[in-house]
Amino acid sequence: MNPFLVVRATIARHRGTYALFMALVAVATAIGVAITTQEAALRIGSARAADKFDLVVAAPGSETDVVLAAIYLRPGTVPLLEPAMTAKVLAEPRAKISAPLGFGDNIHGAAIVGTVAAFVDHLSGGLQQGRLFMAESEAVAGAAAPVEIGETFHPEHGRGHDEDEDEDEHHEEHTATLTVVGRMKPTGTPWDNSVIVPIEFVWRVHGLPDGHAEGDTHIGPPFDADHMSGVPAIVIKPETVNAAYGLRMLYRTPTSMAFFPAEALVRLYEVLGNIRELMSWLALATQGLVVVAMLAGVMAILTLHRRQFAVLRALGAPRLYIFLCVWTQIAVIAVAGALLGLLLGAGAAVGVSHLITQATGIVLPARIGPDEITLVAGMIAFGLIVATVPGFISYRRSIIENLTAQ
Amino acid sequence: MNARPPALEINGLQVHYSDGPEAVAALEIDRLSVPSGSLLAVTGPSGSGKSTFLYAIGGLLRPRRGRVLWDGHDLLAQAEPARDRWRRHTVGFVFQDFHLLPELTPLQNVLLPASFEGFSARGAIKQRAIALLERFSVPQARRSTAVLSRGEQQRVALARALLFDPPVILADEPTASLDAASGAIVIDLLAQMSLTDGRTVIAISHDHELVERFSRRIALEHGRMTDDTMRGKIGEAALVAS
Repeated sequence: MNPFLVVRATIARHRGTYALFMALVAVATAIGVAITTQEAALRIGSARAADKFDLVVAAPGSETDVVLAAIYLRPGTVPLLEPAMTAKVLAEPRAKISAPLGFGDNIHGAAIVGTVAAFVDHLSGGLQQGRLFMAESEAVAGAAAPVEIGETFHPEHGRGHDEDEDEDEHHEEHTATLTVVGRMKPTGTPWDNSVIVPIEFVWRVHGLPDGHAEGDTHIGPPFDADHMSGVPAIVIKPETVNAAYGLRMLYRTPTSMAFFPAEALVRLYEVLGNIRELMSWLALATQGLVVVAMLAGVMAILTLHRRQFAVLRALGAPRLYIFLCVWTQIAVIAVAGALLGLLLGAGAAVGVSHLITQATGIVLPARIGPDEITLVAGMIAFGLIVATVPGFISYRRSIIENLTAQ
Repeated sequence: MNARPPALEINGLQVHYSDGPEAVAALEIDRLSVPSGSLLAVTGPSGSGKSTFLYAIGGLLRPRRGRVLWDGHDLLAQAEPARDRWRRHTVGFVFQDFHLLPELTPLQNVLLPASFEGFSARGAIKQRAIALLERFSVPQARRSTAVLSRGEQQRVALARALLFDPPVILADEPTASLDAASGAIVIDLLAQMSLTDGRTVIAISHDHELVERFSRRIALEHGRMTDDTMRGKIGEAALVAS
């Protein structure tokens, strides 16, 4: 049996309506696909951005705020770790790297972050151009930062400004200058759009002790505990896993908190996961409603064709042929709509990821995975199963009733 | 067509469209015999049971009682799949409104019954469909059937009915939707199918021209047969004259 001639003719006759049904299925599927793809991309992208931040020590407060400020470089108010504690953590012998992070300035909207050279190397895995900073007035640009190697500039006070901000608005410039001496490799994180400078520079331009005794012009560790300032966060790369847990315990004190950003992210993901689950259910419900609405529409169209089916029966078509004609029409819409929806959903997720990357610097890898394939397969299976209902109704209809129908 | 067409016998046929003791019979024929190769016109006013008669002898409905025998075989005793197959290969149905699929080409419409059995539209069956369209002078250019004239559409429907070379043609008002000239062509073709091809042709019609060309006429009224007239070789004479 080959019902495709009849299916083709019927779809061609109602091509506008069937195209609308297909578009509805496609949009419903695309919403579901986009939600799951985007959520997975957010999870992977944000986790990847936090990869190099093994352990963070900060002043007591919100871990989420510290993660947002230190890892994702989002503007926000984070209390400073006391200078004495800062000195202690930066001198930690069980840390391969103990890097202070200091914020407060920007250049052309790109955050200027003060830290130590070892952390720059750790973060980007080497530079793509130039060298690490070796003096307080030198800077290393992120892969996408809006400054060139050799460029000298005055930092502006503040954590950056929005692109749509009034260009005439006054931005207070520091008198100190910085010269870009190197560029990091791309990291796919907000740090790509930052300019990294010695922590001593940040402390000095804000009128704070620069961590070294007077006359000492070297930058980076060791720092002098008697001339320390506070920082919003310190990133520690412990020597071992055991050391990581030990340091976390050690720096959970009344004046400091220590945490693994990965754990903070897991807690965030739990919230995100609940939202995703809710949205997925909503998307699923939408898909179900769309399929049912499509079926109602198709059944109305099939009512117009019942004489045609009766004629086919009179010409000798078996009942199964009629069932297949109806079922195949709906199957074509469901399969084509779901596949189109998969493409649309993937496209939407890629587009949204691109926008988020532009806004935050976090590269979100939006890819179709098993979850999305399962979703689309489920949509198709649901359509194919539900399509048996009108198929069976047409299968059961009496030839005479349909032949004499007006 | 090679085999002799089957003869039709109807015995004590009663068809009701509703159940219950007070249901009125839509068709009630005690006895009717239609020999092989007949050219039979069925006439009567609207609601007289003509279509019911056609559907009953075509195995499309199940009567309350009675038997429809084609060459002695009780059609209604067969299981539905067997009746479907019988209709495909033994009966060619032609309808007043053609019931073609306008989005398909004439050739695809003629080949439609082949799709019931999964025939590929190639080889012998396609050659036969092309030959039928040529015989009925239907333009075969690749275009929608909807652009054909009504007369051409009915000729496509006739070609579709003949795809499997059935020995019986059942036509329901085959000329009612046509103008006089197109109707005359269809009447000629139906007459040829009996007189030249040897098929049994049974047509319901109000068309005086058609009835005059058929060799036998039965009239129905209120579901009962009120007249059965043989006209000798009128149909053949008319065909020769035309």
